[in-house]
Amino acid sequence: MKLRTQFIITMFLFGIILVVMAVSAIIANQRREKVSEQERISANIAQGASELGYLANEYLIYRESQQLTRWQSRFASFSAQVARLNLARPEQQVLVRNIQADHQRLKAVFDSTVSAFGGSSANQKVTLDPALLQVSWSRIAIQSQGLISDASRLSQLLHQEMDHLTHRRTMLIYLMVGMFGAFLLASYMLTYRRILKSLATLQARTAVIGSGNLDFKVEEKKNDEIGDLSRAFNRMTSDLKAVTTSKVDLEKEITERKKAEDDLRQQREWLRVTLSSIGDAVIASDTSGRVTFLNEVAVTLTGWQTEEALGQPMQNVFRIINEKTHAPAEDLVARVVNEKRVVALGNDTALVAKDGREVPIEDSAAPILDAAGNVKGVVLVFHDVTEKRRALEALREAHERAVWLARFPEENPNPVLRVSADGTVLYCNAATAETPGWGCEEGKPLQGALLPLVEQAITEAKETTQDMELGGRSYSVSVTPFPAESYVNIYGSDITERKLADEALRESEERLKRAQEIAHLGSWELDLAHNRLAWSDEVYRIFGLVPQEFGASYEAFLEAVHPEDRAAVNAAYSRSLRENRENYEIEHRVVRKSTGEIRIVHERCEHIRDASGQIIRSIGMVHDMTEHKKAEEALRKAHDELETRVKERTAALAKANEALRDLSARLLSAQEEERKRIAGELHDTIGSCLTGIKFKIENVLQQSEKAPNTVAMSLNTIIPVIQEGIEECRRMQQDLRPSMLDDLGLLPALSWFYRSFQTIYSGIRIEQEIAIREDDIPQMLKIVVFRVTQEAMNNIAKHSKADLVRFSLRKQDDRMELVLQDNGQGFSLEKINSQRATVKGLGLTSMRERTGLSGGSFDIESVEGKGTIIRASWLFCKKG
Amino acid sequence: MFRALLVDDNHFFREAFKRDFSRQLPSALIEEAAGGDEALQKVKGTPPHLIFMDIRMPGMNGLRLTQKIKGENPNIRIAILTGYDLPEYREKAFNTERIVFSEKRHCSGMKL
Repeated sequence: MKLRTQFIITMFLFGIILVVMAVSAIIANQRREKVSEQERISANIAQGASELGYLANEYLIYRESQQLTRWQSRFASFSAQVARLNLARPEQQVLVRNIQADHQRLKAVFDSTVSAFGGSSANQKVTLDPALLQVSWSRIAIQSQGLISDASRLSQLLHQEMDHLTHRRTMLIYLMVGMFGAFLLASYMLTYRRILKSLATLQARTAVIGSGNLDFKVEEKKNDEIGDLSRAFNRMTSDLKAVTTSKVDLEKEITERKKAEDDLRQQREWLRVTLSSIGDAVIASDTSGRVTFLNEVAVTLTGWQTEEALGQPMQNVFRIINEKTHAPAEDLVARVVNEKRVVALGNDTALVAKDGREVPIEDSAAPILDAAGNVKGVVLVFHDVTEKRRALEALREAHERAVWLARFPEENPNPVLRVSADGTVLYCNAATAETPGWGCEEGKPLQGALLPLVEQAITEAKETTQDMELGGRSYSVSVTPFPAESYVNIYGSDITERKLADEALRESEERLKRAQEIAHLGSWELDLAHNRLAWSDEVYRIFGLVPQEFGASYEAFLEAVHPEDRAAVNAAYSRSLRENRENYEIEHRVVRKSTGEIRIVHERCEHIRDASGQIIRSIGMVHDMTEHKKAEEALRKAHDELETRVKERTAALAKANEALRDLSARLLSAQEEERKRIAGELHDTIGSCLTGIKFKIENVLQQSEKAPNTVAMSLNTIIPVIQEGIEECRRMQQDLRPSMLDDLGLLPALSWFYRSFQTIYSGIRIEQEIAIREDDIPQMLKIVVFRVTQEAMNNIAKHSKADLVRFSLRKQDDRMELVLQDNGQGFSLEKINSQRATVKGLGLTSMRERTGLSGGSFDIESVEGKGTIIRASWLFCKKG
Repeated sequence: MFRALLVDDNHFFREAFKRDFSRQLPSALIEEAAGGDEALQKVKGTPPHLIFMDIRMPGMNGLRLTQKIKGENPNIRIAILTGYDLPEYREKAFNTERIVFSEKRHCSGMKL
C-alpha cells in the first residue's frame, strides 16, 4: 500500500473519531449547561417558594398592601422562573407539572386569602379570626412547602443528570487525549518505521552509488513510494551508468583528439626538425619529377644548394649510377609514380654529386599519397653508406674475433663451467663433458662435489680454490663469483700428476730428513747472491735448536760453535773463499744451546760457481760425529780388552792344544795298542783256527784219495775247530761292542758285564743299585754309561785294590746320576793331573771326555787310603 | 700246510737254513724276509704259523719287530735266533709271550 494511502486512511480514521468525540463532548457540554440552568431555576424556584411562603406569612400578619404588593411582585418573578422550566425527561416533566400546578394553586390560595381578608388594613387585624388566619397560613404553607419539595426534588434530579453529563464529558476528553496519543503513535510508526528507516537504508545505498559504484543495485523490496524511489534510483543508476560510459568515451575521444592534434602538431614540428636534422638525405618531388624539397644532408651529398635545386628535374639533382658498372640507374620517381609503392635501390648504387663525386648510398623512394590515395609526389630518402660499410666491416671483424674468442674456453683442455647463482649450469666446455667426474649439462642443475665450493664462493663473494678428487683424479678447482652477473665461473685443472710428483717429492724430502736424522747428518745451503742461508731440520737438532724455529743465519751458526773453535771455523770458510778453493772440511765442536752439551761435528762445504767463476752458492753438510767418536772410543777400548783376552785365550789354547796333543798321542798309542791286541788275538785265535782248518781239510783231501770212506768222519773233526773260531770271533766282537747293549738295552748289558766281571775278579764284591727304567734312559747315553762303568771298573780292578764296589744308577728329578764308589787305596788327583798324558793313561780322561761330549758332568773324588768316588750325571732332555 | 717265515738279513744264512729246514720238514713251506718291512708285509699277506727271527738286522731290531708282530697276531709263534745263550736273553724271552730263543749255532733241522 502506498504511503500516501496509508497516511490518508490514518488521518481520516483518526479525524472522524476525533470529530465524533468532539461533537459528543460539545453536545454533552451544552446539555450540561442547560441542565445547570434548569437546576439553577429549580433552586430559584425552591428559594422563591420559600420566600413566597415567608411573604405570605408576612402579609397574613400584617395584611397591608405593601406586603401584598411585595408578594405579588415576588410571585411574578417566581412565575417567570416557573415558566422558564423546560425539561424533556418524563420524571422531570412530572415534577414540572407538579410545580406548575402548585404554583397555580399557591396563587389561588393566596388570592383567596387576600379576598377573604378583603382589603382590610392592619388595624383591622385584631378583628380577624385567628382560626381563619391559621387555615390560610397552613394552606399557603402547604403550597409553598410542596413547591419547595418539588423544586428541590427537581433540582436533585437535574444535579444527578449534570453529574452524569460531566462524567461523560470527562470520559470523552480522556478518549480524545488517548486517541490523539494513538494517532501520534501511528504517525510515528508510519513516519519513522516505514519512511525514515527505509529512507535511511535508501540513503546509505544511494551513498554507495554516489561513491561511484554504478553497478550497485538498491534493494526494491517494498511496493511503496520508497520502493518506487529505489527502482527509480536503480533506473537512474543504470541510466547514469550508460550516460557515464558514453561520457567517459566522449571525454576519452576528446582527449585522444586533443592528443592527436598535439601529436600532429608535434609531429609536424618533429618532422620538420627531423627532416632538417636527420642523418639521411631527403629529397621530395612532385609527380612531374621536379624537386620540391631537400634537406641539409641532401644538399651536402648532392652538392646542390636548396634554392638551385628546387624546381630542377629530379634526375639532375639526384643522379645515380651503378657503382660497379657506372651505368645510370633507373628513374626511381617514374617507377614510384607508376607502382604507387615504396621502392628500394639496388645495393651498389652510387650518387654522382654536382661536383662529380661518387658517393655510395642506400636509399628508398616512397610515393606521397593524399587521403584519396592519389600520388601527390615522391620522397627519396638516402644516406651515405661509406661509414656504414666501414662500421659493418669493423662489426664483421669484431664478430669474427668474438667467435674466435668464444672458442677459447671450448678449446680449453681443462674443464671450464659457468654456473648461475641458483646452481644451474649455464655453460660447460667440451672438456667438461669428456672429463670423468665432471659430468654436467647446460640448463641442468650442477651436481656433486662442486656445489659446496660454488656456495662457499658465492657466500664469501671471492675467488675460492680447492683441490678435490673427481672421477678418480685430482683437480685444482677455482670458483670465481661475479655477484653482479649472478653467476660463477669454474675452472678446473688436472693436478693428479703434479700431486703425485708433489707427494713423491714430499716423501723423498721426508726420507731425506729421516735419513739425515738417522745419520745425524744435516745439510745447509748459503745463497751468496741473495745472502740467504737455509738449514735442514737436522742442522737445528745438531745445534740443539728446535727445527725451523728461526731463520738460519751465519751468526746463529757461529754462536753454536764452541768458543774455542769459532776462529778456526770462521777462518776455514773465509780461507776457502779467499784461496778460491772448491771445498773445505773441518771438524769442530758445537755447544748445544738448550743443554750445554758439547757435540763434535764434521763439516764439509762445496762452493758452486757461475759461468764467470764467481761463487754463487755454498752447500755444506754437518755430520754429528759425537756418537761415532764415542763408538770409536768404545771400540778402541773393546779392542784393547779383546787383545788382552785373546792373549789370555791364546795361552789357554796353547795349553789346551798341549793337552789335546797329549790326548791325541795317547789316543794314537791306545789305538796302536788296541790294533796290536786285536792283531795278536786274530793271529792267536781266528788265524790259528783257520790254519788248523786248512791243515785238516788238506788231510781230508789227501785221505779222500786213499780212503774215500773216511771223508765224512774227517770232515766231522773240522766242525769243532770252526765252532771254536766262531766262538773266538764272538768274544772279540763282544769286547769291541757288546751286542746286548743294542739288542736288550743298558740294564741287561750292565747285568751281563757285572756277571762277567765277577767271574774274572771274584775278590771284588759288587753292590748294585739301579733306580731307573730302561725306557727312561736316553738311547745315546747308554753306551756312555756302559763305557764309563766299564772303564771305572777296569781301573778299580787294576789299581784300587778294593774289595767292595758300590754301583748306583738313579733317576734323580730331571737328572740321571751314575755313582761308582770303591773302598780301595785311592790316589792323589793333583799327582795324576800333573802327569803327562802318556804316563797317566787314558782311563780318567776318556771317562771325562765321554761324559762331557754327551752333555753330562763328570766328577771324581779320591782320597789316598780312603777310596774313590766317581760321579757322572746327565740332564734329561725335555721330551720331544 | 705248515707255514714258516725266516727273517734274517744274511743271505747265506737264509739259504743254508732253508735248505736244512726243507730237508727236515719237506711238507712245510718256508718263506724268507730280509728285513723288518718285508717281514711285516709277508705276515700281513699270509700269516705264518712260525717265524724264525734274527735279532740284529739293519733298520728294525728283531725284538721290536717281534713285539710288533705279536701285537697284531698274538697266535704266531716266534723263535728268536741269537748267537748268545745268555740269561739276559732268556729273561727277555720269558717276559715276551711265546718267544723261543735259539742259539744260531744250534740251528739245525734236527734241533728244531
